[in-house]
Amino acid sequence: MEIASAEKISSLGGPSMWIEWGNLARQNKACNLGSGFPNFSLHPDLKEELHTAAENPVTCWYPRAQAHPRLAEELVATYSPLFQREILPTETIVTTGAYQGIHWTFEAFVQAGDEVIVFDPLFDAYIADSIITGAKYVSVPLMLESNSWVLDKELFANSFNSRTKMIVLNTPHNPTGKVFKRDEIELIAKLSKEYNCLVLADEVYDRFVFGGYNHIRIATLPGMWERTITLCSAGKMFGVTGWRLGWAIGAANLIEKLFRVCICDTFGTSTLMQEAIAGMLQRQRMCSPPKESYFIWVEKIFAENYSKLKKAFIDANMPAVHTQGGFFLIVDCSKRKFDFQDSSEYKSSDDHLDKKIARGIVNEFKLALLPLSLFYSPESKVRPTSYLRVCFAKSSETIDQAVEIIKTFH
Amino acid sequence: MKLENGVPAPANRLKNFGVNLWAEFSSLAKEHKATNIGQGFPDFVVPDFLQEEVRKAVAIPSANWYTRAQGHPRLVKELAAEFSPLFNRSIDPMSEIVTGVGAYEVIYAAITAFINEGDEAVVIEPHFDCYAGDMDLSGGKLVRVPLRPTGDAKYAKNWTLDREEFEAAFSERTKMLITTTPHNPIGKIFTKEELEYIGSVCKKHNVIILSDEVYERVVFDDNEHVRIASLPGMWERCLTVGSAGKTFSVTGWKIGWALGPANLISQLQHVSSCSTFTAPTLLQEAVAGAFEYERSVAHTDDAYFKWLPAKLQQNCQMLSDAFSEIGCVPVWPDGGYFMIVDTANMGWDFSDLKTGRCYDVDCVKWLTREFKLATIPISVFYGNKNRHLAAKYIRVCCAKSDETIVRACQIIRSLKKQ
Repeated sequence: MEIASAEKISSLGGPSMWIEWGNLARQNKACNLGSGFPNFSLHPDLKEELHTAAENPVTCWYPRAQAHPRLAEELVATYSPLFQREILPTETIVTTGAYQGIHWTFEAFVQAGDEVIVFDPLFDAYIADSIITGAKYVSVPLMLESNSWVLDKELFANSFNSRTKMIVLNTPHNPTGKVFKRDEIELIAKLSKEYNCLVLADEVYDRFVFGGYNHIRIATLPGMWERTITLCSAGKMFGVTGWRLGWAIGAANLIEKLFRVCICDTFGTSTLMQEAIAGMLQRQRMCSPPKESYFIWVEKIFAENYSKLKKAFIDANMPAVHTQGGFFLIVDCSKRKFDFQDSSEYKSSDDHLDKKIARGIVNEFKLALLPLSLFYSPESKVRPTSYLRVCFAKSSETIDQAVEIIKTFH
Repeated sequence: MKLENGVPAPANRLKNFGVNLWAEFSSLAKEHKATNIGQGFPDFVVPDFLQEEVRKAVAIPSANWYTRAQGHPRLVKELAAEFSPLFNRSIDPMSEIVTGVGAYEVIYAAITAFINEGDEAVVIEPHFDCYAGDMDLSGGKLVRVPLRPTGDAKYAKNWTLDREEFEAAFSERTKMLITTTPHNPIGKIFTKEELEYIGSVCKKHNVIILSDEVYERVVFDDNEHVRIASLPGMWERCLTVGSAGKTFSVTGWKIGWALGPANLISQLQHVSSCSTFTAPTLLQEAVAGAFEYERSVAHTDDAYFKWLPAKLQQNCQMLSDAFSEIGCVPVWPDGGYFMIVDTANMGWDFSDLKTGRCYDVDCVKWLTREFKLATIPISVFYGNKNRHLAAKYIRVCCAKSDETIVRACQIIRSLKKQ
């Protein structure tokens, strides 16, 4: 029998890009630097917290909807210094991944007639949520200048109008690795106050910033706490994206609106995961000396990975765009020729160059990378087609395997 | 632009949000350290086989990473193996099953997938309150049809639909029927004949049936849990929702699923790919292991699905006896986690408190504060129009530990008429 789905769902269109590219990686049993999640083994501290949580009977019982109490305490203790204020428990809410935090923010605040400013390239959830809430998204592309991604301030300012409800600021940025600079964040703050908008600050990579750069939390700027919802991710932070845990932090009257959606869609998320992460956050807070912290450990792994990969790609004549943080490297695939054995698709297809090259690399070399053009919204007025996104937040073994493969590019 | 506290006001879809009674009563119970036979979560010790499945899942490296969005492969295969015989069909795990963060999320996905602004859903009342919140978010309207006590009201099976009233609830805007069996809060298990009738009306109006069957494993006496999707001609329009939390008494795991035809299931997956994307891999793995284990002991004394209904029936009997002794009238359920109890005979009167709330809300708060006994008011489960049908009822949960049940019975026996 045919029953039409709701219009908001049918407007989403076809299957997500992750399905096609995920299938390609799987079919080729590829070394996967396409997917954006860490694949290294659990840190021993985290393993211990998980075992302890698994033995705790309270993890079999319903969570308190807004947050498991122990996790709420840890969030307050961890984030108060990071936001330079005394955060209250009512100013935090736990989400099933930061992914759900994005969804709740849109559901709570965005409707037909609203406009949402997004920076291209971007994480596709912002577009899906704009569509299902009936909003119009306004694309402001980041521009490549002198091998760095910059915000065109005039273009950005001109994208505001009386219908602008929200700006989505993802920093450190996926896929470019850009860490927004102080003057850029101050401009975003200034305009959001002038037009009285909200800011959805997607800061899932907040702990992954390279030396010499600072992650600036827009919610800490004057007048911004009351209009910003900041999202963080335990999955990204601790390499456990399969645990589906994140949180939103913001002024209580904003968080309360997210809570209204929460009690309709999931009414709380797994107590087990919350208890384990609470334990891990507590360890990080109490970590003495700090050099033994998880973050120091993972920073070292990522720095080595980044360095090895960047060199391997440069040697293959695929120079990297300058990156400041996050999980990804962007490499230029247009500076060299690829001689794929099955060149039929490569030569004849009308598709973008980066997609053709990415398909060729995964099919022939069994190395999964993602074409950057995939990350541009349908409305984006620019769509560079010469770059690939590479995830370096992987185990050393995976990176070493990738490096060996890159050496064989002909 | 509309403002609230100087910043953009929330979207219109939040406008019907009222006070959340669950949060209110849960906090009150904790504050007074009450013996909690209110909220529907089991507080008994989780059997070791479940702890063992979590331990095994924790040891799998890939259990810490994203899994397949529609449902973890091992879990959907186990669900297909478990439910195919129960529906008398071969369920395709890859296209006819979707998993979510609790049955709660699956219900949200089902309603969001099909309800447009202005669409209606018929729901059998009293009903679990999340259906109302989900309809609000989609701009839909719930049309409630009550179960009415007919014949001996002391038995849940005698609370039935008035069929004229039921059929009159359908209009050209009706997109969905929402039904719960075993029923929360009344504990009725709809008979095959009742479900055949309901199915025929839904077929006539060409609506989807969202069948919330989370309590399917808790069947008392010689009742039978009938799955509407297994009846002739019904599979194509039914979404059957299940819950690991209620099946294995691990409500904190928050893993649920829906079974149904691929064209309906795929729409739920579109919704969850916007909201949570996927449920925790580790817990999906543990639930898969739990089903596999349970199937291996299905015909032995170790079978959890034998122990659970027997235990809960015993608990229910104890609570029923205690309430009957003091003069209340419990409604004996066919199954499920709950029992409703009519307190009218007690002569309790809270009108002088002038709270402006319904009797049952005042009664539940009084019992919590004065007697440290937490229950749930029936108001949560009704729209305004039919609330009077169960005006002096409260709901109790029998899925509790021996200690909780014994303590609750002691407190109940100390209550006096006025």
